[in-house]
Amino acid sequence: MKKENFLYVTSKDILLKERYIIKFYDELKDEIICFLDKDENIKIYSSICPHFGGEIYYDKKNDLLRCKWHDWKFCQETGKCLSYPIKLKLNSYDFDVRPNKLKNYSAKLKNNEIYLIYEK
Amino acid sequence: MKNSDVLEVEIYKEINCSKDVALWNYWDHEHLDITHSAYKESNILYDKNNFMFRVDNIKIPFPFMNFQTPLFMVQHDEDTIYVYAVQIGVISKTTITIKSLNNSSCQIIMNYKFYLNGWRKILKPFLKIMIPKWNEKVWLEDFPIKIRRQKVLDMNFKDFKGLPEAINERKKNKDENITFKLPIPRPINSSRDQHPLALKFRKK
Repeated sequence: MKKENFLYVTSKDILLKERYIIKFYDELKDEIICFLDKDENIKIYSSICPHFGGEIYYDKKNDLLRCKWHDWKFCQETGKCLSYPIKLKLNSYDFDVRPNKLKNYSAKLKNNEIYLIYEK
Repeated sequence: MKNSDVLEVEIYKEINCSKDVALWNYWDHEHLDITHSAYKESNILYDKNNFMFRVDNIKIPFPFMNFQTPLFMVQHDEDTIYVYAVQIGVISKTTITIKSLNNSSCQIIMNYKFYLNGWRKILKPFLKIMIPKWNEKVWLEDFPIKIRRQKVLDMNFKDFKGLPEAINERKKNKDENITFKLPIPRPINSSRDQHPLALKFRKK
């Protein structure tokens, strides 16, 4: 049976102040972006753009995710690429997506702290 | 035509990324107007295999002013890129030589030559000061891109795919070298292909 592991991401207070945070986890070998969308829902995605590997940030004004290198835009709800009609998508770590579809990842809010859950 | 009309500036840099990553950065035209503050617009009119013709719109430090620069770039051999451009009536040739120091570092030599004949001679003192400044600005803007690109490739990142799904596959196979291939793929109707004179024959 696979063991669940918890990774501290941030607190909701910090997120309310900063709007988004970016962190690299050696355990995941991935960099993640955790943000509050305009409706104050917490979302977590990989912040490595699947195009060429650029850094994804949250554009609060337009409520979408963008790449700093080529300005590719991604839907904050689904992670899908909005710039071009291609299948590229940001890896989701959002707990709103059905857990079984998340492969090994999910995220949850616990006592005002955000933990990312992954399985080894 | 005299050699004395040529202004030459040479700049050496070293960086902790592979030679292939440095080459990729020069040939990734899609980042220019996003990450470089001096670029207003950049349009590819033609590119194929090892060469490309592009027109850039460069901002100058006067309000609402910019100038258009037609530019030809060729990967002459595996170490050398030549860039010929015309900027405000001045022809320039840039030779970029990239030498691998090891798998994760390289040396980049940027040699700029400006042909300053006739009235253009008056630009010599200005260009002598501005070229190293311009170079440093562009270098600093590109620096984090090259470092990050190396990092993601070391995690087995694949272009247009991303990281492998399994965490244990997110490391580069030691025997696998990063391979740089031209042209760098870009999607159909890329923001670089919007010029009315651009030849659109690419499929990716």
